[in-house]
Amino acid sequence: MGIGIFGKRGIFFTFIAVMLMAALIIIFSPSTSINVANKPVVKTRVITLNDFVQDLENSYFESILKVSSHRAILAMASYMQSNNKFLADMQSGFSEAVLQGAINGQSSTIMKNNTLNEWLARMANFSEDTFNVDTQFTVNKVEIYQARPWFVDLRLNISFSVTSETASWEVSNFITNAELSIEDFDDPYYIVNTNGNYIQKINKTDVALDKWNLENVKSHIRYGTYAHFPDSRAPSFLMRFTNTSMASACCGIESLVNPNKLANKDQMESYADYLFFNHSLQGKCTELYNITDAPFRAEFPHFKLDFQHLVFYNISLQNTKRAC
Amino acid sequence: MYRKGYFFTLDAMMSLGILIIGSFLIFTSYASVPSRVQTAILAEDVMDFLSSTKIRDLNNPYAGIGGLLWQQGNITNADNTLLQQAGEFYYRNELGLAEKFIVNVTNELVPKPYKFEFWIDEYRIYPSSPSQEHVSSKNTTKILLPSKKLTYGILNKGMDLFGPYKSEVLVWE
Repeated sequence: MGIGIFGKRGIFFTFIAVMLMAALIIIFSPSTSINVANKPVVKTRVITLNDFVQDLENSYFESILKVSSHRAILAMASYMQSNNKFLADMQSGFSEAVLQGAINGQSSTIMKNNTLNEWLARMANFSEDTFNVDTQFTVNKVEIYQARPWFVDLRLNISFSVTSETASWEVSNFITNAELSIEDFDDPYYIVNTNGNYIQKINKTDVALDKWNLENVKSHIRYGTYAHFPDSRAPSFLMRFTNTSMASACCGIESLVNPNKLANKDQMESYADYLFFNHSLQGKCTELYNITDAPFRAEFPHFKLDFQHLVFYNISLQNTKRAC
Repeated sequence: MYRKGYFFTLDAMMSLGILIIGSFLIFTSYASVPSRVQTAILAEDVMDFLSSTKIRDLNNPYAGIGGLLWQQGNITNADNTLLQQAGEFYYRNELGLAEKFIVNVTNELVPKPYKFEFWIDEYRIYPSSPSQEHVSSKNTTKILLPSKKLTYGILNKGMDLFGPYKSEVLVWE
């Protein structure tokens, strides 16, 4: 009588086993199915969106900054050629071109569909279609400056947010830096000062500072290459957009004007480009020197230089004669 | 007290059977977990490889620097990632070249039991003409996980940008 129900039937072990399995299934099965079903999907979703944000920060902003800035420089040069005038302010001119696609209110075909704002709007639409996220961009500032002679530096300050149902990102004042080589851009000095008749592209010389001689100078003039002399008073590439002929501390570049490409070939000027165009030695024949070397004179008969440039180009006084 | 011992023996054997079958069912359900995770990892690995490897870092006689595509002028920017290069082919509407490129650079990247597809926007770049087996395996698979990435790149010496496009790798077993 005191044995109980399990002692009366031979289902003692079976009952215990069923209870044990029920407990095990309850413990393991539900949690397992939740993990398997949801975790990889949510994880993949968050990873994909995080990759998208990383892509924006690490690469996309830099790419659109480069492309828009490249076109903005072309657009500014084109504006200067069409209107035959220099820009009043490089920074605001660049900012207007790169963000609004216009220079001094004139819209530029070069910037069409290529402003920063257009590329950002494109990305916002793309992210909504592709990742089903809401992306908002605000450009705080875009700058152009020079710290090296042959490159312009670009800086974009941007705030953005990416919002999805699983996660969101909010980034303020994110800074993207980029650089552009100035080679192959037209020199604005030549464009405006010659009414667009003498256009020269920036093309860096491969002659080292201590290797200049008359032969190299002839090629330098012939091919319109540019040199950087650390002690020169030449303006930088960006200063040339605003007709600023002060010396650039870091980034002055200069070419030699080819007299054969001018309407008036024989002018009493130093043919170092910034001196030629700002006329600082105009008519001062006592400060100017003709090159007397016969082959040189045959090719560039009216070419003259000031004393400082004779030194820069390593031209000895024996090969020169004062212009008067 | 009144029962024979074989009742208890029979009961113990039935219990043991229940335990074995129950354990088998539980552990069988666990067996599907690794394959799902592996598929996701594989899709991400293929996408990471394509998006982080540059042409200049690729040692490949077809697509690397000095390779066939380089010599023919089809690849000109060594700083392009493989994904950007595929995107550039897509931008130039050279879809056949894009497919050959993807086949070549992903050779043996995806192990045999797995299959994969590479899409840009709504175009299946690889395989452009899938086999019947490929289609049926995709239709019948229980696990098909995508890895998406945006693709864009600079063209014409910095003058133009192509994209952004949606690139997608689909992997299944």
